[in-house]
Amino acid sequence: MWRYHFQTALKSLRRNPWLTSIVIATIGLGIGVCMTTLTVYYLSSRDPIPAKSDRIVAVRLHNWPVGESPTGGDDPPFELTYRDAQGLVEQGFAKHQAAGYNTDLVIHPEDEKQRPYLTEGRLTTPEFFPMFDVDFAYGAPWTKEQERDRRMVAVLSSEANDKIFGGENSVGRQVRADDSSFTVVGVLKPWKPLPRFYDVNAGAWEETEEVFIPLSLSPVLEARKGDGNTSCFAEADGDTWQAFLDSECVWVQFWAELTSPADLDQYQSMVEGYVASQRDLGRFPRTENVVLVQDVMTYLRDFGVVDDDARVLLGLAFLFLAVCLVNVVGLLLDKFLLNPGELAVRRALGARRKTLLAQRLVEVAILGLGGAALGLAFALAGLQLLRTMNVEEEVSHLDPKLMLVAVGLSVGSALLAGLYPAWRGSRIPPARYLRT
Amino acid sequence: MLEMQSVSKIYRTHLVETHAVRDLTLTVEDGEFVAVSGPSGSGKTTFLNIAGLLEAFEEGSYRLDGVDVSGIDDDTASRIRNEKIGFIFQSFNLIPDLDVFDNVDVPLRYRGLGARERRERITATLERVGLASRANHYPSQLSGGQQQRVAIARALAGDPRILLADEPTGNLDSLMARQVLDLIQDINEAGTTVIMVTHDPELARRAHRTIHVLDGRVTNLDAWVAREAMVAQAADS
Repeated sequence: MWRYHFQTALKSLRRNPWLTSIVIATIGLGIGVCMTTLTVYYLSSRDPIPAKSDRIVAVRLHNWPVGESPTGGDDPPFELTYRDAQGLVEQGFAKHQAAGYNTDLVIHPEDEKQRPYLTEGRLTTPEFFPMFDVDFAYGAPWTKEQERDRRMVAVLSSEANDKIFGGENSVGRQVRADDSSFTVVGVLKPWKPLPRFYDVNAGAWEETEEVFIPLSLSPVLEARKGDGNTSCFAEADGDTWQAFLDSECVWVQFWAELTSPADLDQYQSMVEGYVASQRDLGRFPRTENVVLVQDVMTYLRDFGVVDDDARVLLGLAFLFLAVCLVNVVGLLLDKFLLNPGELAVRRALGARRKTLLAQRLVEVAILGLGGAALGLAFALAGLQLLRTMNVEEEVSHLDPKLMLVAVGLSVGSALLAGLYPAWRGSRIPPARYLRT
Repeated sequence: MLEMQSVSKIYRTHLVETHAVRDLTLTVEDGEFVAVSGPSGSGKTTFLNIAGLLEAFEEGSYRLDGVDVSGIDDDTASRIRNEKIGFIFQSFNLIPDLDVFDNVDVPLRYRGLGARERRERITATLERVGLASRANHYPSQLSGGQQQRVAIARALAGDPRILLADEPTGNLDSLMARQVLDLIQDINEAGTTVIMVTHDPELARRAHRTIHVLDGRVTNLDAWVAREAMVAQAADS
């Protein structure tokens, strides 16, 4: 029977090609606008590390004086001082922990024909890699001993290894960055978490850094922070790099991996213990709201990776879809009640109301599929337009999962809009509309 | 086959109440060919709609093929229409974007018959009405007489117990009308009960009997004519 409904629906749609086109265009427009904003919202707010995001936590410590905060409110800053980040790594309260920041590096490729190029690097601690499930193509992270001993070692991203060594196994080879030479100990497989959650301050949609080197080298290399904010409430005690590292300026990210999300309270207590020990040194003047431990998604939400405007826009887009659907209801009422004679004949010949209802809903579902196809085309155009307006490509491309959502949303919306007209059509009194 | 007892149907608006059928009592035997005549607005079509379960009625009782169909639900009415009743309308009521084959197929689809059985039935009924060669034609490509024969094929394909025809020759010229009427008569002679609404006394004469509907009631025509004559005479004098 469904096949018959399908054939009947196609005939009915062909009977009024203009009306059919207008209905499809209306649904398509609503879906297109919705999918454009939904795509940006979805890609902006997706979980970058779903297997672990509930047990990987960012630590925020409020070392600022009472009444002051770089966040605008009274919450602790999103980043730590270098000394606290290093201090928490040394404490090792969690299963894994890593501190780090990004820096600008000039890479000098081995091949002298290639010109040096500027790229981003990251100073971090070795547990960064296992904590964030970063896979290695060759080699492994540097060891804790190498970190402690400030060895000149590096891990290259897959892209950097392709550029510098043509994709070969470069473990053991030297790579020159700025004025230093590093021994390659590992090469990553392609890795690009989106958003780049571990350093949203430097840009949530930026590329993954190309070169990773030990954080302990920071005092030696005097590697300045590349992108992102550095917030200070007081001048450093001197002009040297070491003075800056010892200052109360916040600029280093710190992440920890707990064994289970249930360990969060216990971990928070340990961090509070660390803060208490620092108070003995005359730091951390506040007594309340000093320690905030947040899982990945909470941290990203708090940071505003997806800002409120995006939510408002999403709401407006769905409102627009609703307006389109109201129009579709009117158009479908016209369409289904335009030719009651055929319905009356079918009823006279034995069609039940629910049979006609099903037939009309199949027709509406086909309209929904048409609307989905057109809506996806509109969405592609809309996303293209956003890219010309400097919206990041990472959050403005059509995701395959969202394409399925578009089809479901379109067919679902069409069915919702078509339910009442189809129901009305199925309930026409046959005797009134039979031509005698 | 059909047994109506004191059936009444009233159309109501907020201003007026119209008795389309009033206290109508009628029995039609299995295999009978009954013509229903009466002036326009007398309630003939409403009677046929009630007989065909296309309209409900307020009062009375109605048994069709031994089954009490008074107050049945819509699904049951649809099933009975599909299995037991064939309709022929003055305006044919074919679906314009279905070809002849698919038009005849419509009631069989709703009965849920398999493809093979449907094809066999459609082919047989189209041959019976002389339109086997036109199976792929659309209604607009056929003459009025041919369209009406398609409608008859559609009514017959389901092998109905009763055929309800509302002015089946009203839109046809006399030659085509005769052909269609011959076909209806053949169908009746093959055992199908036929109730045919008609204005035309010549067509009505083909039926086994004629009933006259006036003001929604089955009326004894002779008595009515005599009474009308008396009224006219009284008015003249």
